[in-house]
Amino acid sequence: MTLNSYAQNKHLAVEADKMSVYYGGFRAVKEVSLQIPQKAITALIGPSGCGKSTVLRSFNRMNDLVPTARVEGAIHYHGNNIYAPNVDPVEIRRRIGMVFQKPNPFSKSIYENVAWGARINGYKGNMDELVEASLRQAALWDEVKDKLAESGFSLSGGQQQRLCIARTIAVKPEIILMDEPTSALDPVATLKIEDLIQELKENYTIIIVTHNMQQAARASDFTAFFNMDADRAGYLVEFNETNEIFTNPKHELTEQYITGRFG
Amino acid sequence: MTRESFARELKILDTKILRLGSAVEEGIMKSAVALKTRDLRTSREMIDLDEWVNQQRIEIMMGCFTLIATQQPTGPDMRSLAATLEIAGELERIHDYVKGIGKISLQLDTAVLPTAIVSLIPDMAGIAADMLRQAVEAFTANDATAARRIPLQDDAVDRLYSQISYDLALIVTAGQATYEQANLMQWAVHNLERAADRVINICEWVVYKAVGKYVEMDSGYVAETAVIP
Amino acid sequence: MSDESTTYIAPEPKFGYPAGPKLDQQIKARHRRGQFWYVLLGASLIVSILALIALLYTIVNDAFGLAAVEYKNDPTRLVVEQQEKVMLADRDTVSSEDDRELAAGIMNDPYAIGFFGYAYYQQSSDNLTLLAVDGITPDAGNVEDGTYPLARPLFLYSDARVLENNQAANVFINYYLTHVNEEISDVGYFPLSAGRISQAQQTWKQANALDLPAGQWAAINPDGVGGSLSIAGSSTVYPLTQRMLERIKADGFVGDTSDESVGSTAGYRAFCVDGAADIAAGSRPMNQNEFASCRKIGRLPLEFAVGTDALAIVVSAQNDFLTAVTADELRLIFTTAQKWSDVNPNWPDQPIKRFIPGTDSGTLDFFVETVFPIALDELPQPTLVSILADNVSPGLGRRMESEQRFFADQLVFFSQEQWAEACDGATPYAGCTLPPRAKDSVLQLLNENVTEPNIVAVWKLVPSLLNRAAIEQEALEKYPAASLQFTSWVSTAFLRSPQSSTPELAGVRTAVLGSLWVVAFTALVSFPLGVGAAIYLEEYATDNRLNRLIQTNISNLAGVPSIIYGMLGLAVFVRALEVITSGTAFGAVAAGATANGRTILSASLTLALLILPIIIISGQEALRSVPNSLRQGGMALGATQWQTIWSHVLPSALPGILTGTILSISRALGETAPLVVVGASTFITTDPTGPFAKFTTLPVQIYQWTSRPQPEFQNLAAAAIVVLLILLLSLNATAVLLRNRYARRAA
Repeated sequence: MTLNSYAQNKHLAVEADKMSVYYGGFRAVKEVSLQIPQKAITALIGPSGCGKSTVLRSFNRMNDLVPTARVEGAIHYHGNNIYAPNVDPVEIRRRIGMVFQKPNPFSKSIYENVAWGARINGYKGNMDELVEASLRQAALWDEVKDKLAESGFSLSGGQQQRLCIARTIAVKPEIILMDEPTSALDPVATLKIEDLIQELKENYTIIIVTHNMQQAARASDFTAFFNMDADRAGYLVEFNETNEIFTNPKHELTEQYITGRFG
Repeated sequence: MTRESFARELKILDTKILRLGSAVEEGIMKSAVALKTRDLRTSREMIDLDEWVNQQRIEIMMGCFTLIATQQPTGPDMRSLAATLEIAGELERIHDYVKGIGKISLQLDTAVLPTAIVSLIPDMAGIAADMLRQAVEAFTANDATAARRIPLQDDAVDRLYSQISYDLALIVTAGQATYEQANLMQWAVHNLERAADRVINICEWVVYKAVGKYVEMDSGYVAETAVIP
Repeated sequence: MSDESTTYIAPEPKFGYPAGPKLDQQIKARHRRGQFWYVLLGASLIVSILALIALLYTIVNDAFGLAAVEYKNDPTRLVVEQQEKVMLADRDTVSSEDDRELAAGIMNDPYAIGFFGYAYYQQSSDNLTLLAVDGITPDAGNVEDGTYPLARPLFLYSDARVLENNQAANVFINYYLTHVNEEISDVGYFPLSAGRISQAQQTWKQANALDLPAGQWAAINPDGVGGSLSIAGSSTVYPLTQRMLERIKADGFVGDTSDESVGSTAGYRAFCVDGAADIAAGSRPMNQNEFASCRKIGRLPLEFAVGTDALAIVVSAQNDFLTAVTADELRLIFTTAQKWSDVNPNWPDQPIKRFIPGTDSGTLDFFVETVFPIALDELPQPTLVSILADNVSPGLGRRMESEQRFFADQLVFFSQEQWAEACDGATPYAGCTLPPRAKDSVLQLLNENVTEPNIVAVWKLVPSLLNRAAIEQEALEKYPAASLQFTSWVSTAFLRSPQSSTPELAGVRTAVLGSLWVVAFTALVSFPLGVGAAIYLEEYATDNRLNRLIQTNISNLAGVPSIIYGMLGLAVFVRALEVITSGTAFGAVAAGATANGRTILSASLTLALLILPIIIISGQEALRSVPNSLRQGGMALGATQWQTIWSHVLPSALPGILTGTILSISRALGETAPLVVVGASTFITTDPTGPFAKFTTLPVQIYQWTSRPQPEFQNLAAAAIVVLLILLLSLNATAVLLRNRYARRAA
């Protein structure tokens, strides 16, 4: 897919170029080309098994943790292919952070949850300030400022997820990947996270996978719709501005999907 | 406050209605005055403005559709979007009447009309425009009480309408104007009367948006609820 | 099933499912099946609990119980004799068996003090001052109820067959029990309560086979009764008996009587050993040895309480500074103090003149036993040494002293010259350099060389508790010289003493220390290795054929019988690596170390290999239970894999890892077979001193004790099992505590 008019005005944050992902002999994602605009929210949607999570995890090489995973094609980030042999995934992950489906705070204090990432990445500034700023950005500071020494697990699910966002922000990434960040949360916590994501797009590029189509409609600027073809490989069907996707989809499959007539 | 972006979008739509409403309100007054003063240039401007109004209405409509498609509005949000859609339509149609008055003004061309009648037309337009202003304000303020009170003013419009119709018949009989001229005038006045009726429709949607109940506000309603404080 | 008793929620049959009564039956049948399994599971739980109880029962039953102990020298006697010797040795002390003599001596000297029966005090009460002891002056109330510390009962002893054959004796005791309370206050003692008198009367009735109801008494008129009657014993009871003899004669008794005031001990000897006396009078209860002697000559002593005496501590009426003493002051006055001012600076600077009854008197024994501590281990070290010195031959004593001297500044068995010569010689004694013996060490010497306890029979705990009377009977009959003691085989002495071939002296110190050393080294080796391997396998190893093979083999190794590890340890650590495991490679062959490979180090390495698979598997299990999201969370922040493992995965897995490790170390603590193969010492009395020392462990010790034929070793084994169980339980408790602590921190 070529660059559309909307994206031409924006700078690109990261770009997948004919990327295929294999798990062993199984091709999970087929030749996806996707250009993610900077400082905007891009949602990846599609039916279960369409490879949207796989695509998301490819952006910061989290798929490397799966022993059998293999990526073909390229992902361009600042002009470099992050899958080039001389690229260290540790550096990629530090610049492209990730928030997961289930809140996964570390079994440490709230303060340490935020400070740990900064510390291991060699942060030299004032740690207290960094922790406070990160928690503020994650809209969590007021709720936790009096109990920074308590365990991260003492927070509610929604607070835990915002803590995970705060610790991701603390290492100052450029892009934040979110893998169904609200699927384990109740509706109110979900809306809070969505608002938070809206705030974050001022400073960060956000790519979010969601199984909740409405969430993509509500909270994203761009939407990429993935589907699964006959040999169960995921591929990109349509990528457009969210408003366009949800009011005037170009592709018949997209239309069926967003109107609930899919499958 | 959650769903801030959605709230922001709704606010933008409200502002658009407000802008469109005041343009149409101004149109009612301007076209009536132009008819009276035989200001053909202003009349032509009113006709030309219709294109902008239509465009505005479509913009508002599309905004509503996008929000419905992406934000899954429910409750007051859904009512607000429905009212916005309908009110934009009503405003567009009111401006069609304004445009009609402008066309009549051009058709009358240089004809000189009896002063007594033409000076009543701006009075009527004034009441209708005022009702519209109040209705749009009630919409943005989400004020059902104010919206309920507006239709009561329609009687004055209706009274002026009857009087002008009667006067026109007298003028034609007295040979002060041609039958054709009187007919055109009658249309212009009728347009104003219809415009005021459509303001009542707007009020109905304002009430629906605010309290979630759709109440017909025809003449019967007015009689029954005239005691609203 | 009637319709009245069952409510059907949906009566109509629908969609092919059972309805109505059938539904009811079907549901009940399903419940029954469930109940069957419920009962089965419950039964298996009960069986395992029963098995546990049976196990504990067996152990406890063996670890505690009665034991018949024969002493070469009775420790209580040793203490009393020692004290009496100290008291009598002083040159200012006058000793006499005749209390009147004592009273007369005290009267005339303001600095004299003495004690004797209360009766003698009353006879001379004008010239004597009675002292309060610990604030209590004796009177009828506090003597009868025992609050006066120096009160004691008075007894007559006889035997049922003696009474049957000797009418005079029988009638005299009957007369005694009838009238003693009328005379006793006049003699100077304190009357018994009605209850205790009727108890004594009951004994007499039983001896005469009189079936009278309790409380009813058959007084015999002594008028005209004759025969020969011989009484011997306590000088304290003597005046009372004299009074009763006078009275019975006045009432018409015509028999020949002899009454000797020889002291309780001599009286009991006359009754139990010689059989010369028909009645023994005593101012203390007959002890078990005396009882046993009686049994030997076919006498079963019957005890008749006849009154209570209070020992009177008296000074002269001329004494103007003393009206009360404490027990502490008494101890000083009658032992080490020379002058009154030594005891209390307020008292005059005059020598103490002591007047005490002689050693044949029950009064002196009673005084010593009451005022001084009577258990050996309560005595101070110097006293113990002097008891030892009195009871061992000089040759043996010199050997003891040469091994380790008794005092830093004084020699007991050696002369200064001998000692100096030996210490300056070519082969000085160990005692020349070692610090003096502690009290424990002296006690042990006493135990081994003087008292020499010899357990002649043991009974298990349950019969000891339930059947004590029968056991006492049996012990008296079979082991008359032994005293019956309730023995806890688990004791501090048991924990402190090294191995010994004498069961009474054997302990587990060597074995416990050996176990601790071995287990500590095992943990030191196996924990890092096991956890490291687990981390590698779980976090780093890729899923290839080699790693699968390793994984399978580790699982299999966990099931290999432990004896095979013993063979491995023998071949590799003991033999092949002997240079290292024996310590010769490090030049570390110190005292107690051996030059062969059968060392703590070999044992530890063997056990470490044995538990390594278990630690690896439990470690993997714990690591696997750490959610993957935690690893991803760490990696997503740009952490390296090791940073993630170190900061997040390991802390989360630690409770599980620790639990697995400590449980497997518990297993190592309980292992016997591989250690026997590796070469734990069968008999070792020196404490292990380091990794290169010879050793034995608790389970090995238990195994060896259980294979000994003497029954006492079974008890020792049980006691050692108790110690082992306590060790294991505390280890497991540590595991639980650690796990909870880390789990709380992780939550």
